[in-house]
Amino acid sequence: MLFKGLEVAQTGLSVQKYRMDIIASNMANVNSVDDKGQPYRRKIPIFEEVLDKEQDITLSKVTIKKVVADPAPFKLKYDPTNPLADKNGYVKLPNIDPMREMVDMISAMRTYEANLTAFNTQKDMLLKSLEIIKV
Amino acid sequence: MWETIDKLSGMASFYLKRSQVIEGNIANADTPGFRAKDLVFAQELQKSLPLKKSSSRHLDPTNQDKKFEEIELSNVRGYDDNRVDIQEELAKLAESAIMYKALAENLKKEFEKFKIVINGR
Repeated sequence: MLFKGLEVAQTGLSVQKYRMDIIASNMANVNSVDDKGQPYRRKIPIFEEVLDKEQDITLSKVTIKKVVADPAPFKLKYDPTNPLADKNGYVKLPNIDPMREMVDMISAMRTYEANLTAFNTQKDMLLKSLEIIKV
Repeated sequence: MWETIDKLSGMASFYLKRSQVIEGNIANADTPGFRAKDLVFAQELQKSLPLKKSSSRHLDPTNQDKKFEEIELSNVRGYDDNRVDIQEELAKLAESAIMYKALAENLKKEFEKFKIVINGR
């Protein structure tokens, strides 16, 4: 019971860290193709609430439900000399917009910071209650 | 003799639980369809949402074992039906933490009074 708050904040930190990893993988694969010659599809993490029944209250932890591929169409680039070009000379590139990834990264960072603040606040509260026994 | 300590620890327990509920809201700040929750005293809820007894066989709504009530907030709506205002949650968390610390300090003072009485100083 006592340390549940820390657990909740920790799940928040974990999912934002995981989201950051996925964004990094999207950024790294901005020009990649897979082994079948198909371009890399942008990955999106979907979060899900996990209820944790605790005596008289229910706490909401969070987890990654799944990671889905963005169904948005691929970008097309005219490059007839590329071996993967189609008969009109166009190459399909991954559907990743680096600017959008940057914005997502800032958003993940801010939410991570908010969770960290929550974690530290909870830790301060628990440490404060230790002072009661120091009478 | 223990009345003050009971009241203070009951309040402190409320604020600790409230902070845990608020942390759940912050953790779910990017979860689609999530509704922010808050914890209020059951008595306070009675004031805002008075339950009426229409039969004498009903349980007395003012006399419940449950001290706290979990409520869903529905004031903000994000683009993915997420209802968490992170600024508001952090403010409420800070409020809970300050109240908790103040109560802990008061509890400490209460015990110090006992010590003074016992030591006869």
